[in-house]
Amino acid sequence: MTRETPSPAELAVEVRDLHKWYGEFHALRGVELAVAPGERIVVCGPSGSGKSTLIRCINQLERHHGGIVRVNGLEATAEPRRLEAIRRAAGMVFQSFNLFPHLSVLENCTLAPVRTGTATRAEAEAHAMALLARVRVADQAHKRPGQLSGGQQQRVAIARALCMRPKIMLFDEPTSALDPEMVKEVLDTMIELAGEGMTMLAVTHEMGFARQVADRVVFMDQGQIVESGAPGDFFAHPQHERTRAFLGQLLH
Amino acid sequence: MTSAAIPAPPRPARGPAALAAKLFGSPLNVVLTLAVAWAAWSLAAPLVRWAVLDAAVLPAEPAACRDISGACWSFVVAKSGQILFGIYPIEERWRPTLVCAVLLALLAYSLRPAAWRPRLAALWAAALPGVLLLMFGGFAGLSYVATTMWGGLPVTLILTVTAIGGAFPLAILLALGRRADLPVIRTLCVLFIEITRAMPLLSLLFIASIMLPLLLPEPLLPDKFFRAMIALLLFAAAYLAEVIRGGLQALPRGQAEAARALGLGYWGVQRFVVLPQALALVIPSLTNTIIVMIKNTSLVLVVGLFDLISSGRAALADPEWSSPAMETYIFIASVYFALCFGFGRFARALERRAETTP
Repeated sequence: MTRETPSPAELAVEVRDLHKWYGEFHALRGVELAVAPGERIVVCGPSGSGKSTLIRCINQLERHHGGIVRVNGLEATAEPRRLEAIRRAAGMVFQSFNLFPHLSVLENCTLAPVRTGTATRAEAEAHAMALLARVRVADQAHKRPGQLSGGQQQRVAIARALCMRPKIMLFDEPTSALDPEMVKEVLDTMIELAGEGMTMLAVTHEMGFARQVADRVVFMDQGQIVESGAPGDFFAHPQHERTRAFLGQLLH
Repeated sequence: MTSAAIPAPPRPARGPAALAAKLFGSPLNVVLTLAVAWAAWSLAAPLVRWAVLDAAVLPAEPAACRDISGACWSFVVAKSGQILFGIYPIEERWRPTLVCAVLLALLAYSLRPAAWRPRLAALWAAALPGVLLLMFGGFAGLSYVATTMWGGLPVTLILTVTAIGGAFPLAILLALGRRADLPVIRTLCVLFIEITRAMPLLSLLFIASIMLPLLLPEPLLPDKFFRAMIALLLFAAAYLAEVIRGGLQALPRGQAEAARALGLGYWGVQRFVVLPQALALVIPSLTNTIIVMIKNTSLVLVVGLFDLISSGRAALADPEWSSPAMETYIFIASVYFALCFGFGRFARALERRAETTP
């Protein structure tokens, strides 16, 4: 699939020469990534390869030490207002759901829109109920997260992120903590979201999902992007030995 | 399914019959039950005889206690005004009485979760200067009463409410500051907590009452009562901060991360996501610390303030009476018990409320 290269201002995410250290450990070594609006990218790679660190640097849950991160045209600086704006533009779904256990499902969804002043309570509740219906958990809206199954909780987490009307959705291994029978319901929700044109950047090992929805698959190892390509090419003709080794382990 | 449904095991029986079966089920149990009952009776009987059967309650005058072997409650009845209000001028006693009534009513009102609205904070902010003004007087025809004349229950209540009420928000800031990104803030919070915690409350009170006057010029020096109040407040804040920090550390990191990822600012993350959960986790230790602090207010007697205990001791000095110290201290203890037990019940209710949120 070929696209015209959009100018930086039009990119949903732009990462240039990104470096990140944890103490002495060089976790990201000059990562370059551009995500166009509407594009769907799957990031895969062995554990410790820096894929989670990469998306956590994109919404600035982790500060980077070198290079440039731009989300929706906003460059990440240390300025708190700027960081908040970037995080509103980039919705995040975590491996461990991280729903707020002291709030109802509906309150989980309305907390941020109401408290950041992007919506009135009535608007936020109407929007949240519509999104909860879309991820098929509207009937659970007044329960606490602890009363829901893992799959339901992760779908609530997706709805909660969507409540901030993000320009891009980041997924950090969204199905890795789920019981096997619940993986599909979460993937189906993500596939629907992709079908609606949402820009997505997902760290996942669900290669079926990658084949079905990704425009591009990015393979990372040792803090670098080793190769990337359209899923057809990527899975059929991996260029690098490390990619082949990784895919070989995955497909067995 | 081929296997037949297996019934659940029977629940343990309850009720008087089951209790009797437990207490007298075997010869050993019969012996143990009788032995414990005898021990309890031999302890309780003299106490009941002293406190009730042989005691004098009325008339509330020294003669009532002259020829009795039991408790002299008459003294407590006669002196209750002095124990509760110290040496506050007798003709003005309606003022501390009103102050205590207002504070206790407001406390009781504040315990209901339905009352927890911004209005409640405003109510307290208006009530505290109000009760202090009423205690001081010196306006609208009320005579001026210096803090050296204050005593008893109003002193205990005002110190408790202001020291703990002021310490709590300060403790939250200290606990958050101890985990802040800025090293300056972190160091200041650690220094404050460690130094304050390392000092005995007594020495802190002495510093506030004796050393501060040497260091500060007269016009800048707050009244002894307020110096003790601030010392109590700072001391309680250091302890509460560490309890709260325990709750902050027990909370999974993902909670704050998820809130930040939604675009909430630092204070929004703390106020709506982190603190409600962290505080709920440490309710039992918070309760413990607060109850200790309620009782700590009695230590102000060492710097010459008349709390309940010191006004009780002052009452005992009356030569007309045969100084029934036991009765007086039981009375004072029961006032503290009511305060602390009431708070303990409130905290238990809070805990149950937090538990219903799985």
